[in-house]
Amino acid sequence: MSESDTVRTAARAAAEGAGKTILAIDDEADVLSFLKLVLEKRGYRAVTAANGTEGLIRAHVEQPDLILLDIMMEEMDGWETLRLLKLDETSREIPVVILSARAEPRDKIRALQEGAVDYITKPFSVRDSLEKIRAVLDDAADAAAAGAGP
Amino acid sequence: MVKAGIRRRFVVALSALVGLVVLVETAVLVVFARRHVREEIEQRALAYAELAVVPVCDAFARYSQSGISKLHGIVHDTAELNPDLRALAVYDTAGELVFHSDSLEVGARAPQLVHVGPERERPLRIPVGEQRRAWTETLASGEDFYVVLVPYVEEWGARRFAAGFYFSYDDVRAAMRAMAARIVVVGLVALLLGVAFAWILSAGSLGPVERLTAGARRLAEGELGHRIALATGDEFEVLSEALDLMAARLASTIEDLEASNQRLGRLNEELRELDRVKGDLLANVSHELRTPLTAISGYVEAFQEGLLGELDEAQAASLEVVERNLRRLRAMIDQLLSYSRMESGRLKVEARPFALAPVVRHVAEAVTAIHGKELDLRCRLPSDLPEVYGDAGRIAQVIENLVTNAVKFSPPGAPVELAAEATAHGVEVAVADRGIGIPEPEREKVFDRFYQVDASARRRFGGMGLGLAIVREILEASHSEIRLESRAGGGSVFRFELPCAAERTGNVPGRVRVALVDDDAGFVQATAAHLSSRGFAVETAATAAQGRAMIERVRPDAVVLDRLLPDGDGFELLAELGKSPATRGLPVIVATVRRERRLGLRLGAAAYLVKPVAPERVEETLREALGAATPEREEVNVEEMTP
Repeated sequence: MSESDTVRTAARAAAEGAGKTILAIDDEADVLSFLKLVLEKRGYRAVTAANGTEGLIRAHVEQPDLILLDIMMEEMDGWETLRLLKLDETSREIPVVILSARAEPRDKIRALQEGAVDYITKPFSVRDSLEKIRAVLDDAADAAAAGAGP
Repeated sequence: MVKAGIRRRFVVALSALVGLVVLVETAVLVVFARRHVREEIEQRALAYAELAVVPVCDAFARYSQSGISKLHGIVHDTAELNPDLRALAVYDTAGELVFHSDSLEVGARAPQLVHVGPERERPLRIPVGEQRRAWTETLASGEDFYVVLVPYVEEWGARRFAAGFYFSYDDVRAAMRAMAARIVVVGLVALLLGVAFAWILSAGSLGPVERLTAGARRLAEGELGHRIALATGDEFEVLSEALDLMAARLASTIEDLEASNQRLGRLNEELRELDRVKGDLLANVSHELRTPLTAISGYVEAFQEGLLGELDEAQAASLEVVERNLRRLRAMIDQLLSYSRMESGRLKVEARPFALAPVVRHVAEAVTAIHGKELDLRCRLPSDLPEVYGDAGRIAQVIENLVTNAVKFSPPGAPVELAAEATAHGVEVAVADRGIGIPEPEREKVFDRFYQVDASARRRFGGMGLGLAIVREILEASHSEIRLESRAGGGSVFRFELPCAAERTGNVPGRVRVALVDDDAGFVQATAAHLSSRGFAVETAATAAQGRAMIERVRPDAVVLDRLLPDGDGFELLAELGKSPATRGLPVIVATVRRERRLGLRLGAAAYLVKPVAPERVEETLREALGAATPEREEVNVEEMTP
């Protein structure tokens, strides 16, 4: 990767993030810090939560534009967290992308049924994940624009 | 009934015996009685004749010339004294007949008695001697007469006569008749007694046999708790004891068998549980392994993307090594996961027509990415390969595993060949290495899970020994098979063949094929027309047999099946399709007028529609049934093809 590429990437990243807030909920601190790093490099505002309960509070307080949610967590697992997120009026509309090491098709189907918009399997490719996140945010923006329009 | 058979035979035999005895006795009795009666008559006749000769001859001498009526009177009175006497005659010394009772009227019996014809036509010229004579004379009519001739000498010797007496044996006949009547009565009574006796005897001796028979029958019917327990003290008791003992042994054997079956069942259950636990463990371990990989590969990628600042050349090269090894690790974890899925029976093979070349190229790229420079992979892909039929994702996995395996067992820098070639019925894929080869006894075992050629191979070559097991499982599920040619030290070639899409389907590739098996012409026509208009390729059959043949030939993606078919039960075909490995997993929608949803679904139907049903509803159900399988398959494939 040449230097000019890197500059361009950084510039694009800043434009891409455009100050949107992303909440990452995962009980793996390393994964969480890595997500924070990557997301911030791309110009997003990254908020993290180390478990489901904290995630619910963060979601309520921060009103993020997107939530990345891990499934296999201690105490409250991702499914429970997702259900509660969808029950809360203030967080119901926030798109949730599931992050999971479980690659079973039935988990993916369940995730979509329970209201998640996408599913990323761990270990994930940074590039692909970021693309998915951007696509979800674009969709949400389109929907908001359509809703605000005539 | 056997019981009646034995008893009846017994009674008949015994009665016949009694009857025979009675008959023989009667015959003997008759012969003796007859002789006895005759002798009695003759004795009586002789005694009578001795006595009667005097008055008869005396009367004749005195009154033959005058006083004939006196003669008659005397003769008559004398004749009265013996009931057997039929006639009497007087002869002179020359033997000439001088008087015959025929000329008399001898009482009431006379007319039939005095008819002694032959004596008058053929007079007895008997030399009248001193001796009395007696003999039996048989007439032409067959009637026997006892004739007694007694000489008579006048007191002063003046004249000598002989008197002849003719006695009938009629009394014998009468006596015989009376006797016959008695014999019949006695015989009947004897026969009756015989039958009764036979019956009683048979009940006594056949009772145990009957009980034995009945007992044996109950034992045969599986009533092993039954005991015959005869106490007759003879062979029957021994037999019954033997039968009872046999039944007891059988019962205990069956009990043992059941107990050991239960034990086996429990053991089996435990093994299954263990296997399930192992499967879960496998799945969990591979999931857990992915989590730390996430952070590692994430950071590596972040470095490579330049998100964490610029890297110099050495750093970039080092990271590449890290990344390559990460890929290997991921591939192994994926393999483990794939295998655990296979173990739990969740491996699905969804065959569709597909082009092999892009799949092979994709695999080649992926494998090269993992193994880097140490790999010399040579692909031979003719440009005119026909489309094949199978699960593209799974076949990619097979090829990848075969190539990975080949790389593992090749000396560094030795080429691995990956070739595809059109055959008569499809495409053959071959992966050849120039490695250590596999000795003959090991050939079959290499496909076992966790198998390595030898223990040291594990250290030398790494890997988990799952690759070839997965290959075999997938190919078996795809109705293909893996073949291995190898020489120890001379490398190995793994081959498998995939059928041509055209040959397999005989249809436009890519269209969803639906088989309609129903004899209801209206329903078939409407539904086929609707489905065709919606892009389905529809094949129809009106009977179960045709349907079976058609499904075999066309290999449809889904079946719509009626229960009531002219040649049989649609459910039988449904169960058959579920059992046959070729059609297992094929979605079958039952559309019928009968309401047996539960049975239908239990037999493996993907959906159950009760007629009448609109073609739109059939289409909707078809899409649901086909859709349920589709997303799963696609996601899994993408997942596992991407290293």
